[in-house]
Amino acid sequence: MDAVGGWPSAFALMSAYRQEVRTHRVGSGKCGARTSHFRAPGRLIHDLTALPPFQTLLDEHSADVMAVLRGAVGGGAEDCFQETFLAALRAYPKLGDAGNLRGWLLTIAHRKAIDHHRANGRRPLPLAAVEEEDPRATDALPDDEIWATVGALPPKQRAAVALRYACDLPHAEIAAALGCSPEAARRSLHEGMKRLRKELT
Amino acid sequence: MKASLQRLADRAAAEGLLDVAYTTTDSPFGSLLLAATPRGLVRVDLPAYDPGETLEELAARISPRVLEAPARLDEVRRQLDLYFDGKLTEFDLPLDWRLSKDFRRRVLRAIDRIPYGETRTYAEMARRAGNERAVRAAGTACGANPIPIVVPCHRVLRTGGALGGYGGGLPMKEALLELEGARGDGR
Repeated sequence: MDAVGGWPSAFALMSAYRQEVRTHRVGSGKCGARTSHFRAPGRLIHDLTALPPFQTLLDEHSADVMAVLRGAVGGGAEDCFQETFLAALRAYPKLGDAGNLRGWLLTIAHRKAIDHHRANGRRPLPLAAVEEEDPRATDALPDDEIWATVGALPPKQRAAVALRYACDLPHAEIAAALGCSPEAARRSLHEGMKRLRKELT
Repeated sequence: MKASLQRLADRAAAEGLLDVAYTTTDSPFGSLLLAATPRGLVRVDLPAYDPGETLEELAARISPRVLEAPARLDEVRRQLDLYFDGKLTEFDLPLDWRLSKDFRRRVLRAIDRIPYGETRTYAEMARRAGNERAVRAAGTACGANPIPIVVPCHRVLRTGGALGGYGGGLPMKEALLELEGARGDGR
């Protein structure tokens, strides 16, 4: 998944992810005696609309969600992690599309990070988290005014800005999280930032 | 991370968001997958089966809110360990029967009443479930038992004493009967 020029195709990302999902689910052929209406042994038949056991999401994405939250909220990461996965559990059975679960989780995480910043006001990030971060992000430490303005942006722009600056996601992952093309993600981020600059200066 | 996940499972259970809790446990026959709902034990998977597939099936048939939560199956594990040691002759566990319906559930409920160390026939189970001609269907119900060992389908044999079938393999069925002292006569 080489980020050539920072813009790999979101489709490439998602198809790699889906391939991974399939690999985990190919039947072993041991259970031929048991009836199953949605799989047959030895074929790539995983139905992307069928929701996998929630534990699969934890196994595959909990470390990334935690890392993103550590970057975004430092010491508040554990609380945000719990809130993220509890919110995900609440909504999970009614989720219509199992195609982009990672993006779905990261989107919830970014909302929880924003909630955290709103609830706590401006709070310096712990040094360990700051050191790993892109200097551009640490220059722009979140504060109430900025996040209030971010919160007032249209949903796509708000999500793109928050995923970039609160969750520190690369552009390709923002596209994957929002379920749009990289071009659309770039446009949302650009429009959001333009609007922020206008309103904050 | 482990502590975070443990905390999450506890909070999920407290908020009613843990629909299926599972864990694996060692047995003399290999690793068993155990799954429980808030109503009770819903599935015991014998070593011959693929746990990943079983979890997918539970997600599809009960709820996708399936989490690994070993603490919620501590009592099941404790009783199974005692059983395999020959120190427990009757399981005292709440069971969730929802994976079996109608005739199959009636067969399994009849099987659940066969005492430790005794055997019955498929024909007798069919009769007890209300259809004495459905012997083959009673056999199928045994084969589809979602809670083997605890619901003792290994105690059901063919008329005449042949072993019949077993999801975990006939050697396992024979070993369970031997453990219970039910097969000393070399049939």
